[in-house]
Amino acid sequence: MKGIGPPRGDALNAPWGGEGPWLSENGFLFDPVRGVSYSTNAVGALIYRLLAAGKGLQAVVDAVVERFEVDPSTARRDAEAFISQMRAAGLQ
Amino acid sequence: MNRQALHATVAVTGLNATDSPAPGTGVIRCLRADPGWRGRIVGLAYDALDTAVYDASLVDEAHLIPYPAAGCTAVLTRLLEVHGRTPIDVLLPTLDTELSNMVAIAPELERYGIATLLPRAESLRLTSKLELDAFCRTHGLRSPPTVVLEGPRHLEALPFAYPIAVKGAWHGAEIARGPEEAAHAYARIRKRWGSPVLAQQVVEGEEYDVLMLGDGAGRLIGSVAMRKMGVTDSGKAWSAVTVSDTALHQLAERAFAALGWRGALELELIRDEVTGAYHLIEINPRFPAWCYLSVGAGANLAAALVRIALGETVEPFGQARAGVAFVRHAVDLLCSLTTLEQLVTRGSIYHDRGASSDA
Repeated sequence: MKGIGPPRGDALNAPWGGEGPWLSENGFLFDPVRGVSYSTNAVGALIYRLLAAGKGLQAVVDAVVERFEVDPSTARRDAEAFISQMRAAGLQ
Repeated sequence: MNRQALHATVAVTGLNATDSPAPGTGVIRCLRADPGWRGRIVGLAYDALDTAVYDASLVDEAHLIPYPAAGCTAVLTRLLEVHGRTPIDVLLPTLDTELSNMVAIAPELERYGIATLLPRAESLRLTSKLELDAFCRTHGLRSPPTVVLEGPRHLEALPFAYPIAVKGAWHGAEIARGPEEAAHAYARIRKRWGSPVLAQQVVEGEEYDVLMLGDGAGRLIGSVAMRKMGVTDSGKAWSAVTVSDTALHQLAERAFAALGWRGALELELIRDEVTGAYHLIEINPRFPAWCYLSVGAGANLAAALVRIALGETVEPFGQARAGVAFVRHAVDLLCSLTTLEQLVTRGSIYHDRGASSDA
């Protein structure tokens, strides 16, 4: 009788290597400690990546203004709101 | 992990995978997923309609056995009868209600060459829902306050606030937001599962489970933790993802050590959504239905249990892989009526020897 096996090869390996949270290209964010996932848009993904790289709020605002059609004050307000949500979710 | 061939006939119970699935199906899938698996699965069913009996990709043969209430002698007699037809190397029971019988008859089974890896009777006693409160207090583990209900009127004078979980001593749990709901839950659980019935304060938060395996010599062979993503009405995980939280694993290891556990163990916990602290809400002395997830996480604990029971030295697994998910999927199995007929009239079915075979 043929056994039932798991998917072959590395199909189940963590696509991000397994260390720390994973942010996919499509904005899917997975926290492996709590097992919780979130989805974010391109702006949120950019902010998350910059913060994860150790950048501060001003650098985040500058990057958002440069990448998206938004004025600095709106970018700052949105970035602060996003960071606040990240803190509430235990991601910061 | 030892990768030598696994030549063994393993008898597995808990084959009814319905909306509150018994663990047998998951356990069998784990065994068959072991790269060295060359064995035979003997399914032990309590009812002719236990679902896995009809899946020839899971069980090679199946036999009806008496319900635990029939007592140790009846269970032992039937197991030895099955053993006389198909020699069993390892017996792997997966249901809470049968474990006290199995622990009691394990030495006798051993004399007949049937190995087990079961908890000691004292360890098993500590996993009772009736003991959880005291166990956690003794060992400094957080657990929601729990009381044994003296009757429905007790629900109006609980020492903690609603909502509560009304639970049977072995099975069944319902959430109640107030005394009236609780009284209905109490009646339903008492009618279905008997007394005693317990009330446990609800901690609001995400649900996490940890599966562990002890080798009987005090070593933790492996543990896999997961967060429930989707649950059924009765709270059973229908989808989940493995996690890697040091705090959760340390807590689980403390409980494991305090129990002096041998065999498979599942801890159910809630992570308080306000404080982030884990509260132990249940200890299950067996594999959980979701145990196939352990294969994806790189720690096939059911196969490891069989190897240990057979006397192999199994080295502990490393950290289980986080971020592996499962979704449960219900399937309609088509089957010949002769399978049911054979089980009902003869008590046994052999998928690979023809339906009419009796030996």
